[in-house]
Amino acid sequence: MGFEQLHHDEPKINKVENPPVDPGVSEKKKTGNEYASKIKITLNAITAALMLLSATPAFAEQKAENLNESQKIELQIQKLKEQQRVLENKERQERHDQKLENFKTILDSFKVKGLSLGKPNFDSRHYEEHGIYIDSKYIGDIRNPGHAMSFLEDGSDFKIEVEKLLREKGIYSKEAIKEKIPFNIEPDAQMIMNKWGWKIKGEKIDFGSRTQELDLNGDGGGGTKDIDISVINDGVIFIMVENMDGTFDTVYGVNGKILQEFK
Amino acid sequence: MVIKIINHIKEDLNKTIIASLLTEEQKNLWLDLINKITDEEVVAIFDTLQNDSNILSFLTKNLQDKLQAINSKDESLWQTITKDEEEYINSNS
Repeated sequence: MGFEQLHHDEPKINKVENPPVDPGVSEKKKTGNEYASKIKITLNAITAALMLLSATPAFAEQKAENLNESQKIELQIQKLKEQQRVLENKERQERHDQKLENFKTILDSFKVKGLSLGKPNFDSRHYEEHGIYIDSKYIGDIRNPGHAMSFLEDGSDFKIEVEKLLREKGIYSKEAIKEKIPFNIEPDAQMIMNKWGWKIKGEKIDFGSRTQELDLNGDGGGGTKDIDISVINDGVIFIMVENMDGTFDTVYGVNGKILQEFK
Repeated sequence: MVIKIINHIKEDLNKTIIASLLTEEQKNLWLDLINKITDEEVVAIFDTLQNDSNILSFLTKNLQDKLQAINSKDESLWQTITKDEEEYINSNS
């Protein structure tokens, strides 16, 4: 069986109609027309095949007049898959954008002027990494130190890593520290402190008129985790500082004076 | 019987492409395409190549250009290809 016999019926994708051959037309001309027809079929075949291989069915559909029924169904399936891909990509993008917004909010909370996200210096491709910049100056990379490939969407682990980097580089806004470190001050203690003229400034207690300060940022390494100020006796204030390494520093205040030196 | 012949033609067409002087990238493009097209299209391409082995370079360029045009938003790319095709067909009529 020759190839001519295999497609003796008009191929479904072939829209070329050979003109009626005039008995007077030479054999050479007839052969030329047949050859041109075959090229046309081949070119249409390439087009049809590419339509189906194409990643953009919407574009392909505009030029799908040469597709047979089976190919059109295939194209419809591709179109649906494409729509699904677009939808999934959109959702993924929205989640990504929201995540970056969360990260920006977290960066703002550090109160470090010019602090921003950027391209990491080292990109492993397998893990989510970010470069941290201050006024376009590269500070360092951060990534999730655990086994997770990316940061959580709420950015809680991101915040820890940014804070760690900023501390390593000695960049930390005092204002941010003031906001960050929870001062748990009992109302009675606050009242007494007000009476004595004590004020909280960042991690320090300003004794007001005495022009002295008590730095509550202990030497436990890594800073202060928590500060509790309470009244343990009438007119006696107890200040307990929990350091990041889990150690504690304590100090007492009586009648506006420090009884025990803070380490 | 017809299925066997088609498989044979497809195999021969693959061999023709592999044995050609095309680049590996171009060969892979053809092999991928041959694997996914209809029997009629396989026969049409094979038949054309059998009649004129020199046409492979034109068809390959056509294939690559169409692939680029399909994935492009620039409609003029497709129009240029269509024009080139007509010119080529007319010159061989």
